[in-house]
Amino acid sequence: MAILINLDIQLAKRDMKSYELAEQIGITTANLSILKTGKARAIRFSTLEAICKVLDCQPADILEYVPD
Amino acid sequence: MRKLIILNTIIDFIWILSCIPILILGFGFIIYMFFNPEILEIWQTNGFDSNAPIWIKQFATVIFYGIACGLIFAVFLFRKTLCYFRRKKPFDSYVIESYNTIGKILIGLSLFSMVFMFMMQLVFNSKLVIDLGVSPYLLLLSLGLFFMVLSESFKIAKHAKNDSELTI
Repeated sequence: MAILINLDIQLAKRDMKSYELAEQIGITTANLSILKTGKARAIRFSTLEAICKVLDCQPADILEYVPD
Repeated sequence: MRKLIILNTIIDFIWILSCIPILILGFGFIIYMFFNPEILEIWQTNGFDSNAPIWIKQFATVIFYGIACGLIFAVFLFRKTLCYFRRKKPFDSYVIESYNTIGKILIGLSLFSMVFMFMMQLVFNSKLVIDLGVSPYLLLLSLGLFFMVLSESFKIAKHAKNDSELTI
């Protein structure tokens, strides 16, 4: 997929675990795993907003476009 | 769910009391007609002239048995898909494939039956009969197309469901 999710990098920078982020943004760890592994087909603005709020970052820090 | 249980019961009833006996008795009849062709007088009671040669009647009986087997196979597939509905898996690939197969079988059988009955009237009764009203063949054809449309709809629904599940 051309859109990469750099959630792992952001979590590592903040020394935060996946389950902690999932808990804070109110989604299941299974769904967060789908997002991290790039299996997700779409992401809701509300989820993106929650992630940005918790990690104190911009959407561009999480999403990256890589041409195929 | 109660409607599904009722439908499942009716289909089980048809399967046990109609489909299995037709398969067994029909096969027995086909074997027996080669030893005792007089049994083929049954054609006369069904409105067909009995002057046609025995081999044509035997051939027609085998074809009818083949059509019946095709319909029974369609019922068998439908019965299996109902099990998936009871397990709450209506969008399983098996259901989608089965509905498509049932549709193809019904369309094929309706077209074949239509041509076959036309030929039978021609051979047995020397009549050219074209039925322009509501005939069982047209209904069967419509049912086949309906199953194919249902299969396509289920495929689209499955895709939408997957998309929805993978939206975080």
